[in-house]
Amino acid sequence: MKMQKLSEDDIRAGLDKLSRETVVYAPMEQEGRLDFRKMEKGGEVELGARKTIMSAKKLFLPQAEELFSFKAGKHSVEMIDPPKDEEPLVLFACRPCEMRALEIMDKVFNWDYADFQWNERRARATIIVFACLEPLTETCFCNSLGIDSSRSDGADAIIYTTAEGFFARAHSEKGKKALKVFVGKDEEAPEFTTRDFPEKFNTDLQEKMMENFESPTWKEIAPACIGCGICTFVCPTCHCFDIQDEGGRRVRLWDYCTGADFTLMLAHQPRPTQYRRYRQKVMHKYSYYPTRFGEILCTGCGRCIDQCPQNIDFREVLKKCNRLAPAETGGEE
Amino acid sequence: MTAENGNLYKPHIVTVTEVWEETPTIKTFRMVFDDPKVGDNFTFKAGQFGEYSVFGEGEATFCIANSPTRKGYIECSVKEVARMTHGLHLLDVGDKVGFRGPYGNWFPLEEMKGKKLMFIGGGIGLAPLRSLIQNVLDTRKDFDQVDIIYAARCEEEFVYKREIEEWKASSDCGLCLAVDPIPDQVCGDDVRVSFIPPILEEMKPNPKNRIVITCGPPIMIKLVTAKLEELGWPAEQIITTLEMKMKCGLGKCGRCNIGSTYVCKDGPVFTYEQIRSFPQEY
Ligand code: SF4
Ligand code: FES
Repeated sequence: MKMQKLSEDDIRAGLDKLSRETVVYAPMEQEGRLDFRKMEKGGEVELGARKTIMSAKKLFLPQAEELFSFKAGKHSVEMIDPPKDEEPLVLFACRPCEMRALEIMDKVFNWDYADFQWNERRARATIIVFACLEPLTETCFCNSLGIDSSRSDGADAIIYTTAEGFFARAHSEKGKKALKVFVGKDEEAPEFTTRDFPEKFNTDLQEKMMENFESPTWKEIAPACIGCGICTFVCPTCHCFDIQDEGGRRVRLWDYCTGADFTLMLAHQPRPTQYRRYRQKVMHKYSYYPTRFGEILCTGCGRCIDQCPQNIDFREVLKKCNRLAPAETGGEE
Repeated sequence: MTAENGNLYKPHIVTVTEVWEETPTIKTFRMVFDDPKVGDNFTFKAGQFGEYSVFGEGEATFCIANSPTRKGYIECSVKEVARMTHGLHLLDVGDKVGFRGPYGNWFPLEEMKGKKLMFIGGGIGLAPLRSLIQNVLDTRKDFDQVDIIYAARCEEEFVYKREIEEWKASSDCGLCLAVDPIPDQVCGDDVRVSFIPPILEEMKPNPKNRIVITCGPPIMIKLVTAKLEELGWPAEQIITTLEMKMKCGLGKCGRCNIGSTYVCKDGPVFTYEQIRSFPQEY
């Protein structure tokens, strides 16, 4: 297949031009932290095999997002829409797992009620994915879940990294348009396939988990979890949120189910212990969401493994979940 | 993908037209939509809920406590517990509130027609039942016998005292009031000092052609359903409405999930048969 062959210089020159025309987010390091950042002046885009700390989720579901602001007087209320981001946005060099995460979340944000804010940002974005022909870092396990990281059909364009340079290909009109700023000739590209990752996980856990909901093994799944929520904040698919009023604005804020406050009501706590909250996190991803929306709510990006202060390895969690067995004595205390 | 719908999180503005105190910590607010077009087009069914907001204090979930047969306003009954409900309790006639809704499913009114109904409420759990009770009493001839059992910690804690007096005086429904058997309990002669299960044990309500609709503190619901099952009640004839922490009401925020169920979308009204199939986390 013919693809657009680009050198590193071609890419950098193209990005430079693109970022002058439109808003570009790309992995860039600042104070030692690699994250998707807005290309303004200076700053070098990371084109190599490194993973951002945060996922690209924040560009579509911001950590704190104004839903509207208000001026409330004694007998009047005026509600004001937030300033609209109308500029198109290019998300450059996110990975196939990030793209999958957006496609997976499209479902929850569009069943029955369509979430205007989410859809608007999705529609506005042109997404250019960098394929992963091997695990990007040692905590990656997308391929172990059955995701083919050599492609990203939902993305607007995909770029392959080879020893001889880069090969780019558009999937959509938006992608075509974005790739135009990069010079480079069409050349016959090799066939790209992903080298299989060392492990394969069984992810067909919906029923097993439901049947073993009461299993005491849940207490051993992640006993070290302290409910800090870091895994959720870095996760590309965690999307639970809170709504609060902050200084004249109603905002939607990321929230996390491993925290005790998540379900706490006045005189009632449906998930009173940490293992129950962790069970919710795992089951939402591997049982409830698949039941509801037909997709696992996890892409194996491994960020939760990278960032957990308690060194909880989600791959181990998955293996333990595969070994869940019915309670011998039954019941929870 | 097009962004066709508007901002789902922006509420309608409603104005408080009446406030009254139910108990020392619970008030009921009657509200009217500011935009008459919105008000005229607003419809809901008994059992549905809304997201109410006090600007500056945030949003909270309450059922719509009046019946759709009583048109032109919405009511909610709120216990003062935290920031938002404190802010709400400070409001007076003329003040503005935000309202999103109606959300969720509703009581199966059509299926209830021609049947005997038994309402079992505890504390502020009478609020969602009140919507249905008003609805049933307003269209009384559609239903067979109607009974109401209502319990609270003490008489002072009864909500809807005005209506309770009406129910007492009316021949449209049977009424049994009860207060908890706690030390030094003082109450009127027509109020029983008992938890609800012993009352059910005595009454032995026959499940034939009858539906129980119950709402109250989780522990009360658990004991009531256990007693009814003991009395031979099929779980599908026991209906309840679940109170889970909710935020969006739209099936997005994930707060209200019990297993793969979105209480805000699939509920809040469930039969006990459905609830029994949920992971035990409510
Ligand atoms: S990051 Fe680790 S400790 Fe924190 S909530 Fe997640 S699993 Fe628990
Ligand atoms: S309240 Fe947000 S998903 Fe149900």
